[in-house]
Amino acid sequence: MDKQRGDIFVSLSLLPTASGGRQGPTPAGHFNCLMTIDEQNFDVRLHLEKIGSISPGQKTRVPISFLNLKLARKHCSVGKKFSLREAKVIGDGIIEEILFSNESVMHQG
Amino acid sequence: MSRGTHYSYVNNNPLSRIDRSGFDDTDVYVLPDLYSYGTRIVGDFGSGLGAVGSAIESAFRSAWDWLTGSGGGSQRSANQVDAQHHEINLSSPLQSVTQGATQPTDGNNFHYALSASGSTLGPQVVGNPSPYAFDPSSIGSSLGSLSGGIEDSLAQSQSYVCGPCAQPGAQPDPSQQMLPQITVTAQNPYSLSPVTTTAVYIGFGSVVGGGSGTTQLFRAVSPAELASIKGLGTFTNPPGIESKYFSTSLSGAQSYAAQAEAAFGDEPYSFVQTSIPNSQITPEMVPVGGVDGGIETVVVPTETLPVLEPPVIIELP
Repeated sequence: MDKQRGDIFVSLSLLPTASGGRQGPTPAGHFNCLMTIDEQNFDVRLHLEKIGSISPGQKTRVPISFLNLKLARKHCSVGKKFSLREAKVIGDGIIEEILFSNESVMHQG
Repeated sequence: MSRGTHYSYVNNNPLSRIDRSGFDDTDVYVLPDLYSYGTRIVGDFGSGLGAVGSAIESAFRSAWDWLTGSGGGSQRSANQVDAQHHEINLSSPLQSVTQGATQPTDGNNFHYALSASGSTLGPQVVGNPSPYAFDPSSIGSSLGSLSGGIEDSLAQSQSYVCGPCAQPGAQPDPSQQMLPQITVTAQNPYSLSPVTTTAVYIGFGSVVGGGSGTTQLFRAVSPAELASIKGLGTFTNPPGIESKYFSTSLSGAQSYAAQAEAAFGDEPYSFVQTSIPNSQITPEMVPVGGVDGGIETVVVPTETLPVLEPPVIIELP
């Protein structure tokens, strides 16, 4: 599976800096952070190659890959809400599309 | 290898060595502090603490979740505090297994970590939903992997010590959090009597809330970050990166690296170790429940990086 494409496609919004969000925009290539779904934390990578960096307060749609899809997949469904965090919560969003297949999960090992 | 008696089986050292394969005897790890009490835990630590540590930690963590969750029930009460357990010491290897703030700051004495955790840990952990459903039998099965099947039997029991009252001379306070204490008894077929050890696990995220002392941190670093560390001797972040992720165990960092290389095609990672003063760790920096199935993680903001000890590159065989 092309990991650049991501495991899920989400819409998200980063908290404004004044509301406790990041101090500045994310890097433009990819951005690693934690995603919290169902009170479980997962390492994720936001693929920003096409949309560029995301600024605090910005809303956007982005593909995301999980470091460990096998662990995360059962928590993923369309419409599921999540939050993103680093050393603090930096944003939240909702899963719009599931991109992984059972086959891709199998191949992940 | 000669045969005929159980003792020749391990080169006549049945109390200190095991032979899990029948072809090679290896050291049986003895907890030095507990040994003087006639207690010890057996296991093959010859290949490092990774798998063994995971087994022990998993068992302790399960017990912790059980004790602090709804399953604890009536067993969480002050009258089950055993004053003698205030004096329990753990050896350094076991403390590194249990990670984080469980590492002592005054030699091998565990009191410090307990006192640091008592009054501040509770709100972070009690009632926290956990993926680790506790099954008392899991203690035995987890430690079974530790022993490589050499023991005939494993048994365990749980009791409690009170965090704040774990200070020498302090009195139990039923309003305070109870800490799980696990006693494991292993019957080695080549020993004359069962061997027992007792340990206290102060819990996941126990560094939360500060206190003195430090917490060991490990990080998987990319070739570019490794070059930066070698050049600057410290951690830095490029523009746009506002935090760094650390595991409290080397195995946790290694797990991240292996998965990132497989999932994202990242270049091979190297590993560094550092430490952070517990007073600098805020609750927000420690994701409750860990990451990716329970890997204990500390997220350090860029502005806090200067308080970390200079990173030490870990040379792996």
